[in-house]
Amino acid sequence: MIKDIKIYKPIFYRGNLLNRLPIMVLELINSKELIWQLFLRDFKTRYKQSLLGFFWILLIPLMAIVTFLLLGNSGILDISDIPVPYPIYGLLGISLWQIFSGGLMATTSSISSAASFITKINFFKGALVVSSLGQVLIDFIARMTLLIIIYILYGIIPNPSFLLFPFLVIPLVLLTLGLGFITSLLNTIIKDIYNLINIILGFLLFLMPIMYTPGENNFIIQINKYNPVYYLIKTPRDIIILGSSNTINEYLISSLISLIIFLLGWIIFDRAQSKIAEAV
Amino acid sequence: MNNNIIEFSNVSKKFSKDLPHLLKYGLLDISNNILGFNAHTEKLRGGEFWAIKNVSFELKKGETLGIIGPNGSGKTTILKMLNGILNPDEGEIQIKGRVGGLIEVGAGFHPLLTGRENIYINGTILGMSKKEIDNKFKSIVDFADIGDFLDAPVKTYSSGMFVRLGFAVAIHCSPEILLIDEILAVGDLNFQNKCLRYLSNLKREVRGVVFVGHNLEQIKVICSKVMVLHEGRSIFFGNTYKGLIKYQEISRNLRLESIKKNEAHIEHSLSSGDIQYLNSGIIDNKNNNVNEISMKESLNIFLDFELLKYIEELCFYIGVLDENMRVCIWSVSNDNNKIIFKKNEKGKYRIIINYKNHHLMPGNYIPITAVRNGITGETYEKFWEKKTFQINGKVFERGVIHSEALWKLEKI
Repeated sequence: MIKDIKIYKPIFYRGNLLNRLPIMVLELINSKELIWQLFLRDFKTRYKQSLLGFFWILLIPLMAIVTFLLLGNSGILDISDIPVPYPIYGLLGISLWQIFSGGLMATTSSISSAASFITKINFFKGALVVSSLGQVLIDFIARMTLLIIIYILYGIIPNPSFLLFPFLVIPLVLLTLGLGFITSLLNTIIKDIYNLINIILGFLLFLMPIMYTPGENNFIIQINKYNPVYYLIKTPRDIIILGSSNTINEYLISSLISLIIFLLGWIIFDRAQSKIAEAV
Repeated sequence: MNNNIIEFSNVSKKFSKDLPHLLKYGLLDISNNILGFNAHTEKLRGGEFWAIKNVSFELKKGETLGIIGPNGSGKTTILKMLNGILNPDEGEIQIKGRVGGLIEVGAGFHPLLTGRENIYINGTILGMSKKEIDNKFKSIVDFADIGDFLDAPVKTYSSGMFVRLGFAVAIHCSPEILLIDEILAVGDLNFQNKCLRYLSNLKREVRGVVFVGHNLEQIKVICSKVMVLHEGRSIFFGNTYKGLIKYQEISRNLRLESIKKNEAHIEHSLSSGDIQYLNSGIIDNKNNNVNEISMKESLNIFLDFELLKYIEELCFYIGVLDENMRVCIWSVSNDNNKIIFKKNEKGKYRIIINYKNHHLMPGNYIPITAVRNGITGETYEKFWEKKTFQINGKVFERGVIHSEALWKLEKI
């Protein structure tokens, strides 16, 4: 007769992970309306009191492209040897990069910025992390629309592989979400994490040949040899521009790593969930 | 199978006293949780305290439990544990039924979004589906009674409107077990009455209610049982009326403690130098100094003093003030020429005044004394040594005077 029996007691997991995973999946599926409403909450308020409004979504990549064009033209960075006009190359790169960097920033702050109601209402907190990625994906779609306009302006027909794009970014999204699960937890306890990640991401953008070509620079090639983020950005871009890529294997390995990080982050988050309300 | 809807067994919950400890233990506990180590949460570490310690209770179907206690006694912590927001560090909580909380209603409202948008978002966070909210939307709006403001940003709302909307959403979650945290303290009388009316209907629909509040009149009417908390421990569980009296007893003692802390030892307002104040206070019928008596006992106030010269006629003023410095009793020895103390030689004296039936309600009181010349009216000494004493009794504390009453209602 009573379907809803809950038991709360001090938690320490010794349980079987395989028993827990289906519950986690179910919890996530059952939260889809919550995720959607939390996304709407962010989306509707994001540019509510702003003059430029949604133009900000395009302003960020445009500024980055202009910056790197200037850096490239002055010879500081190498942007030669690109098969398409630089704005296409740059916009693809920065849009993919923003999924990771913007996504990581959004997820990191997602829990701590909801502190006011986390301590008052009991709900699935993972929904906050997942929904915060929604904004990033909206930005990505807007930027891809801009990309198509640029293609048209240059009179270039995009490679048919463009249609694969949504699928090619899935590993990157999973990696972001997995890391976001962990960083959002850390940020509830130590508020430095957000700023720290912000600084690291700014640094990383310059260390990866995303907005420029690696050229002959051995240092850049060496440090990115084992960088999954790099492959998750480079390979999809290659495929969009050229229809193929020379780093498919690296991309697949990176995707596997992303999947593992995603699962790991999710499990960690699941186990820590009951402690979040007292930590924020 | 028993019909308990809540079983709260030996539950304890600890908190950190300051932020550095919160940070340290927060990291430690979360790491332990993740790695699957037993964090030994049942032990207290440095910088921690028990917000709730070994609290047990059961709530049966159809009951309404009131939780009362002084500030910081752990009432809200218990509600938050029942709601699943906080996890116990010791013990076990078993709840049968969907829990809905009226705990700080309106939490999660976004100030920039309209009332309409916030109803959907807040409703979803509280566990309603979109369809459920669609169906109840009209009823929510009617209850909130915010008129044209429905489509205005919530930040333009008055605090009353904000709470009304939050309350309206929260009660439409159709909970089976309802948790209420002092929300009835807000809003105007009309809205409070509306809430009370709604609650009394809701009480019939839900399995049980847990109510935290400071308004003892409401607790008395709404609750079928109460638990009295003090410093994180349950010191009473059972009959509402008895619980309320117990609660008043604790508050009385707490007030006494804080009064004692702030007590100046002696305050001479006036002194002529003809009389030396020695001592004053309360004594029982066997002349022992006491600082508490029961309601039914007689009240004896004494004043010890030393006459430094011969005084023809003395007159005594003795009274009792309550905690708020209201004069409750004020007796003057020569009123109506009743008693005149004549021809007083030098030396030490004790004057005792006996109130056989003082009729004072349980509470904390302060005796006051003054000595004057009965002929000239000169004031020799006006003493106000704050020797607070307590009157105890098992009646609900209301007003100052306890009078036996007979009630009669007739049509006129």
